Amino acid sequence: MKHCDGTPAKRNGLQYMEGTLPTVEADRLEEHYFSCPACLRVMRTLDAAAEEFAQMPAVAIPERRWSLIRWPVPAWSMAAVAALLVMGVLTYKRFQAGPPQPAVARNQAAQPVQAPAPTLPAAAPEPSQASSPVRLAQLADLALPPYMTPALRGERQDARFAAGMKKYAEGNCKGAIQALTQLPAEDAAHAAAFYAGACQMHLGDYAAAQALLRTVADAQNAPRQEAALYLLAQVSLAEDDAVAADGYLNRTIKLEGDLEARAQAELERIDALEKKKAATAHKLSHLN
Amino acid sequence: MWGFKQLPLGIIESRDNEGMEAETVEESERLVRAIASGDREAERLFVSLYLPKVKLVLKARTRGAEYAADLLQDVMMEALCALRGGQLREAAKLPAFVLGIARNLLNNHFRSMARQPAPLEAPDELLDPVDAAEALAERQEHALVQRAIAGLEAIDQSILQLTFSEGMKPGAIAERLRLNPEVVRQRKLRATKKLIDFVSRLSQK
Repeated sequence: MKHCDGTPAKRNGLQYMEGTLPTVEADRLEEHYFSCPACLRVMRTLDAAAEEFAQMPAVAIPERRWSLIRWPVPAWSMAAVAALLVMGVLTYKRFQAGPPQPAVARNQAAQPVQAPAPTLPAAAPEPSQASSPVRLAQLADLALPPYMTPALRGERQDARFAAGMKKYAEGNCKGAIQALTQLPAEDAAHAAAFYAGACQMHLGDYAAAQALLRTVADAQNAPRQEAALYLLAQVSLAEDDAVAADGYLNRTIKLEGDLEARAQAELERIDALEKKKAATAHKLSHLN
Repeated sequence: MWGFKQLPLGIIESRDNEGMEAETVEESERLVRAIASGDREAERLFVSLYLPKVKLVLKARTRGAEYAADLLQDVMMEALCALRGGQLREAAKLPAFVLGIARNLLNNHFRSMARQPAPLEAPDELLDPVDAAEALAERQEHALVQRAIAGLEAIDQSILQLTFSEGMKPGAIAERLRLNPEVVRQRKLRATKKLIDFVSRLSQK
């Protein structure tokens, strides 16, 4: 182990100490640092840090008076704000257009009054309730992940990356891809590849999306590794590839991050769907 | 042959303080042979080399439980007794042998908390001096880590504290500290790296 500079312990040591490193990798790390002085040193530093932090007084929650919005913003509150805005715009338009005309007069004067159509679109049927054959693609969530500007000290954003992300935030996927794919490999490589991949997924170019997202998913400790794996699972679902989706979701779960529960739930849905498919195929084979 | 009894005291002391020099296969073979022939200095050297490693395994696997200290003694005793009895045929496999004993005892402990390993005869006054050296090495490590922690920003200290002492994940930390989860994840990685690099740089001086 004369050539090791402690990278294995730097990469996995924290997860090992937290007890979140998968068993196989934990075993491998132990076997390694038993013979590697550099990694043993890193592990001892992490161990000492854990003890020091345990003795420190409890964390005080910092006051952030300058911020009106507190992270993380719950999805329901964002939905509520969006609904209020839509209602406000509709009400304004109605006032602008004058008093409302009776539906009968506007549309079908000669016909009897009918019940008004529902204002909300009917909810999409759950895969398990749909009458038509259910495909895996229906489970795929191809929505663009939100972009949050990191506020880290010392991190400068490339102007081209910022321009691409502005287009991304506007929902202009083609413009975002054009800007992000022009960035040199070393500049914001993972972030640019991730968001360009998400745009390609959104636009339906799954091969391009996979190529970009894999560069992030296969990079060790990339900040968006977990999200990239999750998106790769969505792309695989969109392509009706249950095996690949299963693999990516399992890798997402292994990282034990924020998407763990979502990936777990999605795996269960895939499993249920596959079982249903098998049962239908079985029935059909009996009928034939 | 490398006679441990004839080793200058300084060498053993420096090993005691560091406890982590890489052993070559030849060194392992000499160590194993010397312990089998009853060399107490070799036993002390063995303990100084392997105690920190076993301690880390037990702390990580038991999540710092109190019984880890008892298990540490048991592992070292069992390893020493096995080496004294010449049970290790391939000396090159000494690290794997010791790790195997640690894992076995841990598994036994987890299988039955009531079941305790058979009491072993403790080598006379063996562990005390090594414990003292290990304690010194730990104190030095902690002093460096304290300096490294003091050099971190308050927000990074909070993130690492919640990670290390409360086992919280970035999402939960973000909620607690009212930060963006992505920011927490990046700060955690950077702060850990900064801490390790700081300690590594100073300990090489």
